[in-house]
Amino acid sequence: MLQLTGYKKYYGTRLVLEIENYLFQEGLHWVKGENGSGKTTLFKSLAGIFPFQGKIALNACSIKEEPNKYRLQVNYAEAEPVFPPMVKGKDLVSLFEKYKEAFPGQSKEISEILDIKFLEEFFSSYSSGMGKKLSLLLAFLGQPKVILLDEPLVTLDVKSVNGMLELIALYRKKYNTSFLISSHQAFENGIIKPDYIHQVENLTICYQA
Amino acid sequence: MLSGIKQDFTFLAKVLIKPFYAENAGQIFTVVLVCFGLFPGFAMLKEAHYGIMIAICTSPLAMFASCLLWTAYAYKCFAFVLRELSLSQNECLYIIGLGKPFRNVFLLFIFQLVLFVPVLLYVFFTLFIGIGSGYHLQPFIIFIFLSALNLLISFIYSYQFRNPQEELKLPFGIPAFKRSWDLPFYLYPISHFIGKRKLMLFVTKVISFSLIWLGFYLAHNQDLDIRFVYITMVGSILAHSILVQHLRDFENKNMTWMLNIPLRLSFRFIGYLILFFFLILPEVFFIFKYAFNQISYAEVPNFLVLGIAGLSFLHSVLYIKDMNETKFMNYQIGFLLGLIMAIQFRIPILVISIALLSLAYLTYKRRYYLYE
Repeated sequence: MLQLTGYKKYYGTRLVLEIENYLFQEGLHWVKGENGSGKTTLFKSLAGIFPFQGKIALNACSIKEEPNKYRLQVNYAEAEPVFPPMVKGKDLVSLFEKYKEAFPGQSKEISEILDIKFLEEFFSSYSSGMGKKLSLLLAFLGQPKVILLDEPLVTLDVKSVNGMLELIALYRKKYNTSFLISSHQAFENGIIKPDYIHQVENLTICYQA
Repeated sequence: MLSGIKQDFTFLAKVLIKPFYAENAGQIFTVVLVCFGLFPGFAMLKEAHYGIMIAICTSPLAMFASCLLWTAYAYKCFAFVLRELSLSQNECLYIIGLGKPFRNVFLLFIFQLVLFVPVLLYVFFTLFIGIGSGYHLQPFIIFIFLSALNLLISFIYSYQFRNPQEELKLPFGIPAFKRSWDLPFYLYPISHFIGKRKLMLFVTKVISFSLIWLGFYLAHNQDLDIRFVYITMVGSILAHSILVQHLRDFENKNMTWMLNIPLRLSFRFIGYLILFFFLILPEVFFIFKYAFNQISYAEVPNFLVLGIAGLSFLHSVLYIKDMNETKFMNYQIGFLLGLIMAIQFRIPILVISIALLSLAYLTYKRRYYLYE
């Protein structure tokens, strides 16, 4: 599914990640790692936000050769989402609905599950939890093949965490969407359980038994 | 009592002074260029400034007008500091407020003087020439006025540092602008400028309009040579550098998620062109006013296209790898000189604009997905 080949990421001259050849199969992935190990860097590269050396492809669709097709299939929710302060949540939802090709009523359905009732407000008035929920809503729009969730549990209340886990289970079952989730906490509950566990350490990533 | 003040000042320099000059470099550069670069020779430059300095030291009206201008600059410094202090990443600065009040005022007075350096340099020469020419009263008043003004601001800073819980409101603040319609994504930065950077936008427009007015004034005195207006239009585009830099900064901080949106590069680029169209539109209306008696109506679209192309070029330059203040300044100088030459040699504005747009698009295409 999601293949990294000859991947290298530098900050200035400092190498922060090097992955020779790695495959994320279809399924639910839990990406673990200490603070600063490079999880967010990896996710941002996979989302097409950070430049990198090497190749990243989703089922032969390369991010560098077919950037728009790739981005349509890979959605991303940041660990600490930042949006323009003078923009309302609903503006962003409309934008993502349009470009991520969401189907009618999808945003409403997700908003209800995540208990989002603040889309009429400007982002400048959002708390960190509200920003997080908005970013999750945007990540679930469309029919992505992969959704990258960077620290999705941080700052969410219990109700929203359950809503998010419910959404993950729904997307896994209904659309066979794969998930890459980075988290310091275990997120499995009665509904979902990771299929694969990965560890980011020593400037690379490896499977964990 | 003053121990450790150097360390505190170094900290303030890194967190506030450097960003202040980084943010305002484009505008200061434009003002310096207009004040010193538009004179045909050194003798004329010297004569003009000598005249202005003597006028400040002798005419109460000229002194009053100068003091007003310097107060406006002080207001700009003040607004910048208050804005930065309100940002969460700068909350650590309030630790300085724990120092002794006198020490704080002294530290913040020095800090304010450093922000005030561009004015102080001119004032220093003015006072030197005024006193040297035998005028004492007005130089004394100017000295007292500027000292009091900066001291007052230092006291307000000191108060704010000691009372972070109290949010100081800017006097003469421009009222908030409430938007009730949906905004397309390419205009998000404009909503940010209008909502959060009103002063920056206002100052840019004042400089820009003044330059265009100057262009028409010079053109009028030179048998309506339109090239003067085009050259000052280039200055007006440069005055917008601060907004363009801020736009890039805004993209980096608040719009990185856009990189994950499946949108063609050409559409993204067109989005920027629409943004620059709206940004430069007030200038075009201003120029249109002169179309009645000084230039032909057919010239007006040239200004619009040149404005959009110039802004796009400056914006795309900021995507170049390892771009920093100094490098960007070099590009600005190159942009200015190149365009002045092209205009002097009567290369059609449309050709210049197409060349700038092509360069902008190529740079943008090559660099867009590679910036961090």
